[in-house]
Amino acid sequence: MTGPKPAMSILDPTQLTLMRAISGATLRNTVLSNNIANADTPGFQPSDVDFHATLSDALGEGPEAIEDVGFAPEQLNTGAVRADGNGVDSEAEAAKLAENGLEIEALEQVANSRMSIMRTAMGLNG
Amino acid sequence: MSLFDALNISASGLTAQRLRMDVTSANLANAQSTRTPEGGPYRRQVVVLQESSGDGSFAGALTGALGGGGEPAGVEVAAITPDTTPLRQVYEPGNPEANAQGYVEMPNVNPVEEMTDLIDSSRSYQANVTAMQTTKQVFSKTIELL
Repeated sequence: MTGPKPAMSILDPTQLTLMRAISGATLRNTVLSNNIANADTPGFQPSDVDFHATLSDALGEGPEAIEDVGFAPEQLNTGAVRADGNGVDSEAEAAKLAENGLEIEALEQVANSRMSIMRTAMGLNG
Repeated sequence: MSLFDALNISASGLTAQRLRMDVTSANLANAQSTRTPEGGPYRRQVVVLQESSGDGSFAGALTGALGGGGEPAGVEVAAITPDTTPLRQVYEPGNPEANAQGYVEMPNVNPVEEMTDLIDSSRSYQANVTAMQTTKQVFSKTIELL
């Protein structure tokens, strides 16, 4: 069978991408919190989630790839910043966490506006 | 992964840092204790932290069994071990604890070191509180989406 597959959900690819970006950023929030919690653990190396790269790869492959996209934390191996082998730079982690939080809020604002357009189209906004 | 993982992770950091503060306070309080229930003078206690594997929880065990893993699960206290550096020898012939040469074995606690440890753990505690606040703020925005 040829031709485009029917859309899998009522959400268009942009909305789907926004949702996936939010879940990627939420995982990143968890991973960065874990780095901060382990700032005093000997030998600990911080991890991060490059959800931007994963998403942009999936975007290149098409809507099905976006639907199936999954994110995984990666260890950074920054080397030791302390004598006990710990590699967490608390300030850098806190900055990344704040930045990621703002990014989630921005994504949610866009997702929310698009949802409200859709609700208007459905006649649900009065 | 659940919505509240990040909050639980920050909470594990708070617990660990609070315990470090407790142990540091015990070290400071016992800086002059020459007797302990185990015998001998007090030895400085050191908290050893390790990254939590999440094996203790059902979700962690399930992810592990499914070949997953690598999910962050916070921090936990591996052990509280005594510091093995030599005890201080103080010449105090009048002290009832003094040996035949007039020396008293004092705890290997350096109050200055304990104070810096206390500041360190209180700052780490604050870092975890800030991380928790960021997460909370983000999640409340997520809930507004519904």
